[in-house]
Amino acid sequence: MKFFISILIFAFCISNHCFAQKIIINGSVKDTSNSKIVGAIITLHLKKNNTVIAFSYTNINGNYEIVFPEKFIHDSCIIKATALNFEATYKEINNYNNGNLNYNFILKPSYKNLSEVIVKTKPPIFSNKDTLNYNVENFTSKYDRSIGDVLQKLPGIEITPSGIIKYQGKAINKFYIDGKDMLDGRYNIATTNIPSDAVDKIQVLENHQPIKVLDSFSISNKAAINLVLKDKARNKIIGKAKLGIGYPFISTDNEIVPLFFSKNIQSIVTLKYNNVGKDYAKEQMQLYEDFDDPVIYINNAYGEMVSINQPTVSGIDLDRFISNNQFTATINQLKTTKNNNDLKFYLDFSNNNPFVNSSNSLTQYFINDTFRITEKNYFNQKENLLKGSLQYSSNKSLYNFSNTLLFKFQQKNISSIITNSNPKDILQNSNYNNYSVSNKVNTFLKKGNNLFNLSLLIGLEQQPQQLIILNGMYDTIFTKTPNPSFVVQDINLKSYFTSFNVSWNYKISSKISFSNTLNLNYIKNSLNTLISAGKQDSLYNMKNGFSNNLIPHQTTILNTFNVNYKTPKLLFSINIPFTFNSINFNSTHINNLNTTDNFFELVSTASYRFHKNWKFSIIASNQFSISPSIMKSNSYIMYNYRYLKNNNSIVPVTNNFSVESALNYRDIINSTFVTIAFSHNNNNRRPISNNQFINQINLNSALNGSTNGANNTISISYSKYLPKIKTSITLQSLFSNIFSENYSKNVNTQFTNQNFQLLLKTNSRIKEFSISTNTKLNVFTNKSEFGYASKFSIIEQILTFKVPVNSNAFITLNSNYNYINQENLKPIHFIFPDFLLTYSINKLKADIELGAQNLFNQKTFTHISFNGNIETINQVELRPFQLLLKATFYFK
Amino acid sequence: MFIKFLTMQIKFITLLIISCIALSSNSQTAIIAKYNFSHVRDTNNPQNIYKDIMIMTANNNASLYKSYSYHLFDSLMEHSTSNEEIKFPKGSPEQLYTNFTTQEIILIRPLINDKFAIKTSLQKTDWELIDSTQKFGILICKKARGKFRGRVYNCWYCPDIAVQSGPWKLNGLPGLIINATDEKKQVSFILSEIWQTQNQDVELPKPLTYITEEKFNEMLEALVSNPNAFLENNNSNQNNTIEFKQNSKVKKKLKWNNPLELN
Repeated sequence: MKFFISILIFAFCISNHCFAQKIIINGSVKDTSNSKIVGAIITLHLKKNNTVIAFSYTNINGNYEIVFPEKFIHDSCIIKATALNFEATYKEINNYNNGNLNYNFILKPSYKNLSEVIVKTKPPIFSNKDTLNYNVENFTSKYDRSIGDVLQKLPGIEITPSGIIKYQGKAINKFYIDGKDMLDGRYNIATTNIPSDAVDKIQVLENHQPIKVLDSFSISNKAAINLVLKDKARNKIIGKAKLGIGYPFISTDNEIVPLFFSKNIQSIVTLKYNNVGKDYAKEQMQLYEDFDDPVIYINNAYGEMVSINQPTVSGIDLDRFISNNQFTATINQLKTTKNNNDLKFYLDFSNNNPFVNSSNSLTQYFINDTFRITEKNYFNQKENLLKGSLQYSSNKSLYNFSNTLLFKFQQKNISSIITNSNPKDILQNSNYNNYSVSNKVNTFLKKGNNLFNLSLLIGLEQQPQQLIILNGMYDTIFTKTPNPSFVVQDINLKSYFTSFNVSWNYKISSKISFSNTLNLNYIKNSLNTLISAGKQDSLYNMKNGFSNNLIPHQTTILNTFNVNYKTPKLLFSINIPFTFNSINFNSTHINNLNTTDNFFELVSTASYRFHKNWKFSIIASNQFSISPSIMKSNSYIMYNYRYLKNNNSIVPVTNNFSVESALNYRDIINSTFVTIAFSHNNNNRRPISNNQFINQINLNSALNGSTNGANNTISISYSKYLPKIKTSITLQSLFSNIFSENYSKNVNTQFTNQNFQLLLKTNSRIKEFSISTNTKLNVFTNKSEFGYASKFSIIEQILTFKVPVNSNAFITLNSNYNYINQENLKPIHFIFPDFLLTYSINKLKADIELGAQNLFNQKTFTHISFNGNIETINQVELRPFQLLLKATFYFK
Repeated sequence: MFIKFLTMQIKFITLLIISCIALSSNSQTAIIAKYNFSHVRDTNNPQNIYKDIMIMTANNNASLYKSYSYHLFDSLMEHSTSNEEIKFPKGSPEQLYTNFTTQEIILIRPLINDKFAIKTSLQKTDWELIDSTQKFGILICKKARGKFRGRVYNCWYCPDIAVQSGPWKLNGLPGLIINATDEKKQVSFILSEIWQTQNQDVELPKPLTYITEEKFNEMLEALVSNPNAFLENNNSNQNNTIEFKQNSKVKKKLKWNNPLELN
């Protein structure tokens, strides 16, 4: 009986559902003279977001009928009637209860003329879910050669001087070519060498998670870039070959870059040689770390201890003041197997010999002391670097496997001649070698709602290094050797490191998942240092107090508990890492140096898209970072001719509390991007790094206690593309307030550096003319609690005009203008105009360029910077007037 | 004499009535849109893409869609003197007239000196409206997706241009179709230019001979197999005599495996 009653109730429900009354809207559309309008369009919109939910047309009698979609019965709706030549008319639908609704329209004639418009077939920017597509042809002018030229014009995208691509203020986490990550973060190779006309679209993949199996388990706030190539650029060799020769004799700039892209094979080979100051080795720089790499390798051995810093200035390109002799080569290959797995390798080689002549003035302000040094520096480097990687990876939706073998051989020799008030010139010569090899295995396996990860990294690194100083100023310190004419710092650093990682992720629902990751790190270092001093052919070893023989074993256990909450609009993640760090020294003459540290940390990330155009994101963290164990020493190590440091205390630890928040706006239709960002950073470092100056030597040692630092930055960035005038505009303003503490002779000095920056960047194409401007104003204010105050401002402006001479030739006029205004000093101006004539020979697919650089033959350039309590004024000698004739042949 | 006078009067009055009707109505506005059409006709040879520029005139009730090169050619023919030599252009000589009032599509296919009209009923596409907006030039467009003749098309239409027309046989959205690409990316219609004209009707070209598709195909086959015999039989009304030279190339029928309409 119950069964029959159930069936009856079920049947009743079904019938009720089936015979529910359909809502039909009908009516007529007429003009003001009461004549019917045939073919008028009737659309039904949701009131809340104007989405069209149904539509119809008037028939031959001017009548229409629309069936109202039942699922929207609880929404407020608007009905609209429109026709060509008539004004659209709207009515609100208020009552659905009657079943049939009648809405009649009378449309007013409208003679609004749609003036002739040329519709670009592809919009400049369009989006598809989390993918933003920039159509390259909308942003390309005939003067652009590489895809990097186009990238810097895209609204919402910014490229830093080192080549890092940022999208809405955040650095990208992957760079793909046709969906493949061939370059492993060395994407300057792609941006400088892939021709702009080979790329169809530049895609920004928002909230990108590179590891497919992790997609539903973790969240990412970072974006990736993907270059979608044109069909014509695939399955054939493209690229270029360049030959350049000129004055001063024999300036030369040559390269050959063959590229090949197909569905299964990608290849980029570059061979470049120049002596005109271009730094092509920059292309081989790793621009992002593997952010989602589960192998958290804590405390990579800090290696280059005796490096001599290369004098540099900002505000002008490096090739204006660096003279060089550089050969670079890179081979990058990626092959996709039948099973859709990737095998890739790269090999980078560079022989880089830059030399720079500069005058430097450095002033370090303390409450009880002012350390000032003025010198001339003749810097000369010779470096050979060979590095490579072989990787096999399988990135599937159910599992991920990758094995990466990395190796590096580096030999660097730097010599630097210092002339200052000393009677004799000081000569520094450093040799740094690095031989390393490591292998990393990563596996992910997804089983239902569980995801397991196992990874292992092992590696070896050897870094022998030496610093020789002739005619130095150490005679007061190295008392055992009175008036030594040279001192030698020998360092032998060997590291063995391994990291094992196991994690379990569990998805509770489509929105919530958690994970627990256990990471074990072990590093065994062997650090032997020795300072020797001598005269002519006699050498003294000063073992007491001038040598280290340390074998620290550093074990770190890191356990991270993570919870993720993910909806299409809201992403939220909380990480609670616990770190146990132990350093044990197996050394006979070091006591009480064994240390253990425990840290609880917190990292929380949230992003909320509260409107289709608006997103708010925040990252708050309280983290500790432990310096490498080799930073601890029991006697001095000589880093350069005037810096001796002894970390004769606990292992340095930094506690960093930071909040980064950003409000992002992007309106794809109007190609407008706005980012308002605020960041706060508060750090506490122990031990105190205490400076003590004896003549021009800084004897740095550790003191018990800690120093504080704080950094608050607010920035606003607005960028827009105006298709009508083919112009992209970027306007940025930034204000930062940095507080720091520095110790000298056990006394603390507090400094505040403030920087206000305003930047305007435009890129326009007016008919055949191309104009780009980049103007930056910086105002720096520096003050201390003891009454010191200084203020200076710098304006940097780059103007580039490209003007056609005829259909095959164009002129590029480039001007760098710099203005420095320092309180109580006469302002300094610099202007560096360049001229370039380019003639295209279409038959040969070649460009002939005649370029003149530094037309006014400016001799020097000065740059001022203020960092903490250190004021630096660097003056570099510029490369002289240069004339270069180049022939570039393109393989298309 | 009287009959001649009467005939003249009837003609005059008829003309007067037509003029009055024309003047009393609103001046007709039409939209003229140019599309870049591309089609991979043979999937064995995907690099060889057929391309043509098409032009469409549309108003509330109807649209006429044809190759731009033939549009120019027709215009030249109208104004040419008989001595001028005008070459036949490349591109498709066919025209498509869509009447939304009568719900008919008329395919106009020229053959020798005649224009034949093949009438079919307008097939309604079941469009799915997608909540996605994109700007093409100054036109703000909405996305839609629908299956037509065996292909799934992703379209962008402009609600501000209130006509239900679109390129080729694609239509029936609440605004002009600006852009249509099939999912396999084998067929695409991309708007390149658009403008508006006053006082332009969208009319069927004349004169036309209505015919069924089967009959037209028969005629075409007869022409291809024996052009001269075909002309002898069908040339009675023509003053000009056209002689066909048997061309072996004509017989070599091109084989394509990917027609525009898959069913």
